[in-house]
Amino acid sequence: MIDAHHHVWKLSRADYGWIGDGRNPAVAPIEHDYLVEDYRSLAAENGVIGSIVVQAAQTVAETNWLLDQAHASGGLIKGVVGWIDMTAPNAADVLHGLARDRLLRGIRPMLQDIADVEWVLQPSLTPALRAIMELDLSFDLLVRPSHLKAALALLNRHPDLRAIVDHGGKPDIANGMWQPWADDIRRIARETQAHCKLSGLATEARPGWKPDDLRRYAEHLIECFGAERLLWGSDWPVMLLNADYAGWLAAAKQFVASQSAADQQAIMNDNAIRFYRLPVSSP
Amino acid sequence: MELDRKSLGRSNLKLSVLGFGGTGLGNMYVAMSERSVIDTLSAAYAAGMRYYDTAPLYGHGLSELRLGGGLRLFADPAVIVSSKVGWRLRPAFGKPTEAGLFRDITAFARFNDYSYDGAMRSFEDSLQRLGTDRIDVLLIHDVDHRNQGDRFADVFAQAMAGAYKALLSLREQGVVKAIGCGLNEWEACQAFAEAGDFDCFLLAGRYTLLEQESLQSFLPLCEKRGIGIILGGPYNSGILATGAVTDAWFNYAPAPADVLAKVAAIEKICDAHGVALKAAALQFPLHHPCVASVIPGTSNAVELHENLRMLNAPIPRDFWRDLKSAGLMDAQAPTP
Repeated sequence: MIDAHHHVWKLSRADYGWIGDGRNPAVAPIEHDYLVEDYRSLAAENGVIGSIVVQAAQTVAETNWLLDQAHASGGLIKGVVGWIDMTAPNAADVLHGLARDRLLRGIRPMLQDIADVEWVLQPSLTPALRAIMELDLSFDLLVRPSHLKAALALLNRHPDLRAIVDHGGKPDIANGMWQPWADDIRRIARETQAHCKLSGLATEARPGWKPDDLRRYAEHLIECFGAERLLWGSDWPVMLLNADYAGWLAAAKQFVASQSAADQQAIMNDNAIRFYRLPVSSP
Repeated sequence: MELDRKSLGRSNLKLSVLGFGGTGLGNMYVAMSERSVIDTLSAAYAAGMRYYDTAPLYGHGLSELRLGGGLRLFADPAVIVSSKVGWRLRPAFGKPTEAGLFRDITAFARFNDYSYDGAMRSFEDSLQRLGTDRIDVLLIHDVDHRNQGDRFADVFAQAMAGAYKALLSLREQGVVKAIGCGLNEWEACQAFAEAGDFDCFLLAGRYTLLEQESLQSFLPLCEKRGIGIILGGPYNSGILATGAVTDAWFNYAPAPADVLAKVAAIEKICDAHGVALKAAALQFPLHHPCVASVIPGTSNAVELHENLRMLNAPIPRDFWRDLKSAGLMDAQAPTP
């Protein structure tokens, strides 16, 4: 199994912004270091043999740190989704430099924290987006439901951008939100080649959630994206705010249980290998 | 160039000992350019490879389409082709361009169909994609636990009542020369061998330098019955090509620690004898009397030439003896 989305962080690095300075009570329960060795034991217990680690700070320094962590992980971390300043005039050069490291597999701006929901549509991002496409990297869309229409517009503008919607687009499950999330997700799936992560749903649910609270949302993602374009991820350690690793994995397995074994294998393993272009030698 | 040929069980088919695995033509893991497809197939034919395996699943028809181009190029009726039934394709109408481990696929989606009619239609569709009137070996694809999970027993029963009957009929009519199954597990192969009259099995990865459990009951059964084996995945998805590196692959996924450790131990013995791991991995299965051909997946001409070199690399007898005495290989495994 491959975990297509998790983080590691060391708070003394002090460039996270949203965590580490004690000022964000919402993340207090996870406000300490989570390192590769912590992840390794969880992965082993849960049958995860490879992972994609995703940026948590808006700095190139963190991306370089994640690449170092991945190289030192003994093969556990198979790829890094990093960050660059996509608006910078030299964004493409920075990206070409970072991508010399084969473990860099994608880029993720933290759209959910940007007030302007159409930020991603500004023309100054185009050189960076072109570079992402040229380098065959992924573009991770960390969005809330309010960003989905802009995401759709972006993907229609750049049909060759290999994009993936993180955490199912973060529907507000705790408050029973359905529309416009459901229709916007359906349009993205139908009109573009975007992929989507089956991850992070528990974080959006009420404390003490049961799998049935998430089921409708998960099944909508499965129906829209199909077994070809859905990737399971844990979103550890953020997921610890409202779940434990094994609990979320068990719930996700329940949601995909109606799919054929081959399709389950695709969602839990194969799609991550393909989507993130994990290097494989001759079979 | 000439490659040795071995008979596929009791069939009259003689396969080149190195065959062409068609997953690469279906863009498994990497997308091949059309130029590279032609270069690779031309190099394979020039090197004496006369057996080519494909399937509707691989790139959702792409592998068959591309191999069809190669067959026209070879224009050689002596080339042996195998394809499979069980995964059928339907137009996807704008749906994904990628699926599973395959990139840049055709505009078709896959679905399982192990019925009699489904197998017949699948066979005809394969002929059309290949642009040929001849498929020599037809195999039931992916009726194993990896692909069917809990539904294995039901799907097995469907395949025996449906697809198997279709294959029997095609063989009786002389339309295909040999029938079998293409599976990822020897246990599933054995279940079919016990239930029906099969000429051969394409077994992926389950009789390799790394694992020989199939020697316990399945391969002896094949020997007794004259069933031929085509061995796919001789490198177990990569680890027997790369060695125990940290990012090695096993069974279509990153390699777990116990497998890495075993390969590292095998590599020590390789080093002691100056044997390339890849050479041992490629040659080992062919020493079994049932194994007619090994078919590593091939994505470019460089890999192909490397495989040829590995096939012909000398390996001292003591190497095999040392693997066995170190407990790294089943003592019953046929070796020189």
